[in-house]
Amino acid sequence: MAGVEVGGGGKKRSLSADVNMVPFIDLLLVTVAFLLITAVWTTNSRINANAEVPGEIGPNPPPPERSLHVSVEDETFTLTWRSGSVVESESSVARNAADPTYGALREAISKEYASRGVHTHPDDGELDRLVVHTPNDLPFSEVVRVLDAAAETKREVRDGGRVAMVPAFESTFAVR
Amino acid sequence: MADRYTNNLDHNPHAHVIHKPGRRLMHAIPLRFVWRKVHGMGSRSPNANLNLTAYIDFLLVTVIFLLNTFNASGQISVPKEITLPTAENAEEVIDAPIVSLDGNQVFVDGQFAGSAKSVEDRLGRIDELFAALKTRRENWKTLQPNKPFPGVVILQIDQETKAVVVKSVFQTAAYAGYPNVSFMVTKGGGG
Repeated sequence: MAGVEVGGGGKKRSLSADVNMVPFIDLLLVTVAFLLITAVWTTNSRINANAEVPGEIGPNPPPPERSLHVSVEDETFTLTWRSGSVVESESSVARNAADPTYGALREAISKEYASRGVHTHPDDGELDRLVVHTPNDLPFSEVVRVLDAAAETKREVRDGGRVAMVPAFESTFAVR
Repeated sequence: MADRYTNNLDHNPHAHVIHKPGRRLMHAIPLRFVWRKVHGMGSRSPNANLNLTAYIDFLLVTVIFLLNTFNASGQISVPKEITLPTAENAEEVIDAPIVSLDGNQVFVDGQFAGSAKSVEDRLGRIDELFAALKTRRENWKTLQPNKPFPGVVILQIDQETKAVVVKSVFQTAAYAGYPNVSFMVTKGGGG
């Protein structure tokens, strides 16, 4: 019998008692089976974007903030810093479709943020804006690769006494 | 003969009839044939004790591991027709309305919310989706008037869908009051 002996022996009444472990083992087996069947080994995740909806423009509109525009072209990515309609700087990176993570684009975005990023101080909770320009027929997977590359650049943000690493950019799409 | 009249119980004439209550079998009555049978008739006993401690320990560790890794938040069903893109820098899925695009049909939390045919070639607003999301937003605000509206929506879109359709759904969600748009992805090594 499946039992666990507890206690010692004696001459008179035995102190050794058998605890029947069969129900316990059954319970454990059923729990393991249930958890294995209901387990989801590949969980879904999300990658964020922000849709900038223009609010009401008052009599004194704030000056346009500098933002990084990433244009996806056939052979290259063009990275442009703009303040409103003024182009401040422009650079380009080769678009290597064979690189699944667009490593060159990741590095270029990090460098651009390090050199021209607006919100860099840990006490500044705002994020820099990154606008993605894509051709209309670009597959969604390519769009996500660009958003993923943008989310790679991270910075510290102090929230109360806690410092957290957050993506340096909030991404959006150019809709024209 | 003198012993017959002493108080010694061993010499009580009724001592062989009346005994103190207690265990008899296997003690006073040895039942040797039962004992021999249990112990295998002199050969090796068929009654073996299995040490179950290691087995129970293993099961307990497995149960604890599975309970720890059990995560209900990622258990959002994805239609088999939709292949999600992969991303490295992804976050955990949160509780928010899910807009899924199955072919040309748009669904909000599994309920039909229009067709994306009109936006396959040019950017535009999907009116049924806009109305469905707006209704949800208003319902949320009615039910929770004191809480700020999070404005988060999750888009569940196949990886081969054209960017123009994605942008149209994105824009429609924004117009309906959901500016924080997340794209559902499979977390992985990119590509």
